[in-house]
Amino acid sequence: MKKHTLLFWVLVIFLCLSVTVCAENKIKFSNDLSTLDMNGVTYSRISAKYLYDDVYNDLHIDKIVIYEEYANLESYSLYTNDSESIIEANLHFSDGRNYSAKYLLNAYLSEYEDMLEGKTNEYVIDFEWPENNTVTAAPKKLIGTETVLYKNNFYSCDYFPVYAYSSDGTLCVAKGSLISFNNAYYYVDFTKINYTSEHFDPYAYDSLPAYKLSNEELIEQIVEAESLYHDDGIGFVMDNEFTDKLATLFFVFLFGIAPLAVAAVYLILSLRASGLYKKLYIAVCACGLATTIIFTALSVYISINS
Amino acid sequence: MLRKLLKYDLKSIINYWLIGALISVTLSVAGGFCIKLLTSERKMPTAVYVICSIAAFIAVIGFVIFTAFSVIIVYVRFYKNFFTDEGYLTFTLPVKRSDLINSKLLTAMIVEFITGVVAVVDVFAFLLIGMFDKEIIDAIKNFFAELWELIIENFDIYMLIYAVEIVVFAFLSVMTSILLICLCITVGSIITKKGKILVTVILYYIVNSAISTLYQLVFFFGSNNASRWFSIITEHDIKPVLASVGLLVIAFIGCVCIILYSLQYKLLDKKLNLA
Repeated sequence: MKKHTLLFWVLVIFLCLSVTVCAENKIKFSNDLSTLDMNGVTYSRISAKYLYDDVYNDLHIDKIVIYEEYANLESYSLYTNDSESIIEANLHFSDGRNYSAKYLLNAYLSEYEDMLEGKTNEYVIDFEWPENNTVTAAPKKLIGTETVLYKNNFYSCDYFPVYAYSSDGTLCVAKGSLISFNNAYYYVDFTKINYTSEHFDPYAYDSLPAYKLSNEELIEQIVEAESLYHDDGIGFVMDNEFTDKLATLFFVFLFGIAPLAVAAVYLILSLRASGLYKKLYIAVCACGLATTIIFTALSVYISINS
Repeated sequence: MLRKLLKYDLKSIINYWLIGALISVTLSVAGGFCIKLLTSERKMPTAVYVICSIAAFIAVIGFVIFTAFSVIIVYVRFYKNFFTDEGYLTFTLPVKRSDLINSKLLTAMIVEFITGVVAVVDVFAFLLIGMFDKEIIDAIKNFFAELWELIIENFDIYMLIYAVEIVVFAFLSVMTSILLICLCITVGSIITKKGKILVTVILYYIVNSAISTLYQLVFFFGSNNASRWFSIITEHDIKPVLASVGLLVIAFIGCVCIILYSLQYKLLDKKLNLA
């Protein structure tokens, strides 16, 4: 009897293992391609607007089922994120049509909608350097006085992304950008400016509607995080203000003062020289003066426009 | 007189240079064929692989030696002509000091230019023979066709100004580097009687390090602030501003070049002591 029992269990285990090995990893698309089913779990197509995702893992599928009209599927590629909450599907059909879309696990759908609508308790300002240098804030704290930033104001500004995360941290939605400029902080709301691309660049705008931050507590947190961002351990390279001054001094000396001094010296020398010496000294003087004049003209142009 | 001096300067160099150029081109062509053999799918004895690898290596070394040799012979001629016993003869010639300097500078410029042409031929011969592929040739053709199209499409007066500025800048840069080496040789030969070459090398090393540091500082501060400055320039002004920056650089390097020339002239005119 014992022998039979053992044989029975061996058979059961073998059968289970066989079934596991033979189980097909299968994706089935709905007729209108609005949903897909992967091994019994349903995903829905999303616009993927503002969604920051890490969908780079190859998803290995044994079988892909698409409704009849699209039976002539030529090739496909599927990618997913670490938690398999998002699937990116790229389908290529023999008639040349290409279809690409992102699908979100149904369990996250309502939370994603809430995140898009701003119904989130907190936003995260990511300073990106050093790692995990973030400031968490309630969305309303970011909304300060309404203002408009103009392109000329953007030079040497820093800007950091503002995200909203899902409760378990799986989904990340870009909500805006924090602009640090002239010792003040401005929040640019992506929904307000209708921004949908991946990499926000304030320099691309001539004018940018923003909110000037006024919450003191939040500003203190941001100042601290920003000081960490600027701290390279040496206090030189990343210190914008110091480097700016040093660069200005350097260029003023190199292209302004030094050529002028050379021109003055060679002018005096040329007064006492004759022949080829005189010609050479006058040429040096002319080049030195030309350098100073062009440099001054460019400096004046930059000063007027900044 | 300058023409005669130039003729003799070129004559004394060109024979050695021609031999070097011929060897370099031959080695590059041979090296290209060796690379082709090495990358072919045909099965060959190991000895052939070893010989081909060595030949390709020699071709590359030959190219490097040729370019270095071409530069060195010009300065060897300069040194021998002015600062050895030959100098007595050179400076008794009924020619102006400026003609002597100009002749050497023009020779150096011409040799550097033709060496550059041969270097390009070498590289193209080596790569085109070694990696001959219709797709690569087509890609190169397409690149130049697209570049030409881009130039034609965007051609305006500023394009012409930029082109002139680039040519003038290249000319002045090469001239400055030649003058710098000549000046180091002159100073090295004037301040010491023994070990002139050693002093020259040390001088050049010091001056070159100082210039490199200056370049790095310009690059460092420039790259740090370029985006800020360019964000200030309006789209309407960008072309004239760029042309002005080009002029600024040309005026600056022109100033340096003439200072070096006048120093060189003064040293040869007033401070030379061959005794």
